[in-house]
This record gives sequence, C-alpha cells and structure tokens, in this order.
Amino acid sequence: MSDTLQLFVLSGATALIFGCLLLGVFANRYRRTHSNGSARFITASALSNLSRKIQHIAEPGVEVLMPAGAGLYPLTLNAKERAETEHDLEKWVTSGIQYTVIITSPNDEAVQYWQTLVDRLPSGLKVFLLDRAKAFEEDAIEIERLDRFHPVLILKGQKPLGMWLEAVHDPRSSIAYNVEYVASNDIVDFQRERFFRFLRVIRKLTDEGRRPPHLTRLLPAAAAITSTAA
Amino acid sequence: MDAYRDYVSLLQISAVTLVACVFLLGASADLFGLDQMGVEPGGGRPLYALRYRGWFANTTRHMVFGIGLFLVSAYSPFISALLLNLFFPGLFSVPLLAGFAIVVTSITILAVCWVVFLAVCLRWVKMRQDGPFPR
Repeated sequence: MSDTLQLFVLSGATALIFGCLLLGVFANRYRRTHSNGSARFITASALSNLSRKIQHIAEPGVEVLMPAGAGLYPLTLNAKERAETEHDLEKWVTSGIQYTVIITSPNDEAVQYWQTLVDRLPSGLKVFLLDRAKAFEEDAIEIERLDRFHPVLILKGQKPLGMWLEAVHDPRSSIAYNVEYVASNDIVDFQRERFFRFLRVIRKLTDEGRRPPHLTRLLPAAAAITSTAA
Repeated sequence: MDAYRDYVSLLQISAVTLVACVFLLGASADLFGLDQMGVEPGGGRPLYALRYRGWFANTTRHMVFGIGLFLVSAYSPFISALLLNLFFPGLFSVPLLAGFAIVVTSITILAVCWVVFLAVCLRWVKMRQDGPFPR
C-alpha cells in the first residue's frame, strides 16, 4: 500500500468508528426523548424532553400536575423557546387538558410572568403559589422538598399516565439533572406507590377546599376584580 | 526479534495512554459522582443527584465522554494495524505508524490534561462554596 493509502485507511477507520459510536449515542438519545416509553436522562429540559413525552398522552380529561420550584423556568429560555413552550401549553389547555403549575418559592418575577399566562389562557391552566412561611410545619417541610425536586405527574381520573421526576432543578437553570420518566405501563409496584405518594402530597398542598394558609391561586385579572368587588 | 523492535517501541508509546486513562477514570469518578440531596416528598427514599452541575461541569463531562470515544476509535485501527503488520509485514510502514501514534497519543495526553485540570477546578470551586459545613 502507498503511504497515502495507509494514512487514508488508518484515519478513515478512526473517523468511521468515531462517527458510528457518536451516531449510536445520538440515536439512543433520540429514542429515549421521542418514544413514549420510560427513560432516564442525566440532564434534560422540560421544553425539549417533557413536552414530547406529554404529547404522546395528551387528550381531553388528562391532568398534569407540575411543581415548578421558583417558577422561573420559562424565563431562562430565549424568546423563541419560550414562545414554543407557551404555544404547547396553550394547545394542551385549549384541547381540554388540566394543567396545574405549583410554585413553591414565589417571587415577583415568576408571579408576574405566570399571571400574564393565566390572563391569556383558558381556565384549564391553574397556577398555585405556596408560601412556606404561612404553612403548617408539616406542609412547610413538603413545600421545601418540592423546591428543587420536581415530580411532574400526569393522570386521567385516578389512572397514572406518566411521571416525570427531576431530582434537581435549580431555580435559574433551564436544565434539570438526573431525570427519570416513568411511562404508564411501568407505573407498577414501587413506582405506583411513589406516584400516589407524590400525588397525595401535591393534592394536600393544593387543596382549595381545605383552604390552607399557605395556598394562593393566581386568578385571571378579570375574575380577581369581580371577586374583590363582590 | 529485531524486526519487531520498532513495533515494541510503538506499543510502549501507546502504553502512555494507559496512564492517561487512569487519570481520566479518576477524574470521571468524581465528575459523575452523586451526592445525596435530601429525601423525596412524602418521606420517601433519599434523593441523589450529580455532585457538579452547571454548564462548566456539563462541558467537562462531555469532554470525558469525547476522549473515551476518541481513544476507542483511534487506538482500535492503530493496534489492529500493528497486529496486521506482524502477519503481513510491510502492509503499514513503521514511520507512518509512528507518526500516527505520535498524533493520537499527543491529542489524548493534551485532552486528558485539560480534563484533569477542569476537574480540579470544579472540585476547588465546590470546596470553596461548601466550606467546612457541607449543605
């Protein structure tokens, strides 16, 4: 073989193996992101990963409960990504999905942002603010646990459809770490107990009937004016 | 035996990479390490998450992965070429193999040095943030 051919074989084989392995990695990530099955991610974002999982099971009557920590996630995105997120949210809420956002560390920036969405979107979007300073001790502990750990629950009636668990999502980051998505058919045994444990906690913290002192719901501006006037 | 002397020295050069791999493994054990972050809501099991977070840590982790990919893809053809040369002498010329080994080993050592340095930086920053009272 000529020197050129030898060099071509060696570097070509290197590039080929590198390319194949890289392609395998991307194919694996694509499959985990786009399929409707369970998946684990070291890092993931709600926009590019969770939305795709929800899309598979989005239908009228589905309820999504989303603890959102400080509620600043959409504000960490650029304008295009934020518009995309809002578009998805609008599409789901308009199609009859009940979408509940739970903010466990309320702040002016997040409240202002979510208020505009509550004003603009149909009533299928509910936004709750949980103030741990006003909460009973037991509730305050749970609110604190939901600050950076975000268990997003998707259900219809009492039937679990999916569970998206972000082990850590820092307030001003668009990235969540150690994320696990458990699909409906894998919510059995331990995962089922886990799902309903999270559901119990979230229902208790956001139970409007019980009127806990820590709970505030963002109402559309028009409704808030009417309620104040009444 | 003299005919194989050149190949032995090429293998010795490549063996330097093994030392680099040890450094890389040491750094990645820390970079991919998990810390307990509290417990799940409802008093469930303990929660674990990556020790180092943020774009800097993510980049370093991707670099470790990239170096791993490079090591596998560059050394597989290289060592295979050395073996082939034993059975088909002259298939690959020794100067060309030596040149290839120098390029591959240099890139590996350079990349591993950077990863080790970045891993030390991450550890340093975390130590400064946590202080003597880990959160």
